[in-house]
Amino acid sequence: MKAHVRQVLMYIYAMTPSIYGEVISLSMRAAGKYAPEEVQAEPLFPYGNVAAAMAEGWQVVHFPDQRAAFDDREIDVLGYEFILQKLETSES
Amino acid sequence: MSDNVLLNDEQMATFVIHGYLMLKPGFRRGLNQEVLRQLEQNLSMPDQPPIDLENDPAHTVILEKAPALREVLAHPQVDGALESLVGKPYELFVHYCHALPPGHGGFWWHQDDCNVRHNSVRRVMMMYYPHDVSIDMGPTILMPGTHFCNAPTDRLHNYGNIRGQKVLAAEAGTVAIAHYDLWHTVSRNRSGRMRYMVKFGADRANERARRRWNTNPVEGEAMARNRFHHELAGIYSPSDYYKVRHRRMRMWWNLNSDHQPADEQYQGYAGVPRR
Repeated sequence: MKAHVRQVLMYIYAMTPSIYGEVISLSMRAAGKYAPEEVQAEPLFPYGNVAAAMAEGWQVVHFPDQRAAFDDREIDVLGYEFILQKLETSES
Repeated sequence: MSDNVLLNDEQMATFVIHGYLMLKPGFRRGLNQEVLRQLEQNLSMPDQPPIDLENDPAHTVILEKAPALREVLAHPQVDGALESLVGKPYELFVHYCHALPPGHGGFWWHQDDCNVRHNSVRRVMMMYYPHDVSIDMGPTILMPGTHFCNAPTDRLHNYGNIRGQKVLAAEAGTVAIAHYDLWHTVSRNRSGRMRYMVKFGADRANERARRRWNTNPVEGEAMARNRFHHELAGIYSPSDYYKVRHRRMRMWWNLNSDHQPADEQYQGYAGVPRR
């Protein structure tokens, strides 16, 4: 038996840089498991904020930069980016 | 005298806030089926048909292959909405038939335009659905309010579903007109039927193109100010929301050039200190 570890990533874009900021967008990424970049007509949002995902074992591997370039007139992307991971183990 | 059905102040304000409008023009009986039949016969290639960039970059051949589309474009409510939003004369600069076969679709968020910051409506995209599009047929998905976001498409690839996204599950004959910068995508066609959508781009022919809509300049602006201040479109972070209000008002004034305010008025609107 050989154990394989696969990293599953979850991108969360939150309303604020806080882990309690409301989720604006959420997507999962893992090689061979999730269709990349696919947006669904009937979306699911399993977590309301980053803290709720952490409570279920997700680990934050990327926090939004608190020193974000500040422009008082421009709007660019939506939300603050958090990246979380889970490691899945399978045997073959 | 044109018999166009122009937009009204409420519709113009809706476009400014959300970045799109849904129209249901009263096409004559049988027109949608006629267009669909012509598309199926002549343009049923998977995804987009190849485009001859050298000889037909705007892909106007689609109007020869599906001539009933000319009637869609000439409808007073369609032509009138374009006259209100981009003014007359306008130019149709792109024509695509998006034929989405079963199992295809599922794409990332993108903008069609390059990122040029402005607060006006110079160009719109129009999406026409000749048949009912159910939620499993790979409907277009729009993200309201994102026409104000100056975001390169590459930066959008890690977004998945976004709260407030609008799924265009639409009846046959629906026409959606959207700001050209609006984030949009298509979901996967999980049905057994081909899904057709015909997209046109409309551009102001020149800066003298005249916009007309049914407006009461005083009451219309009061209504718009109130909606711009209170109405949500999608979800913005708190600091962006203040900027959005500002952008909305600026776009309204740009649309309504007869009432273009002095710059001092703009500066004072959202409490922005004068320099």
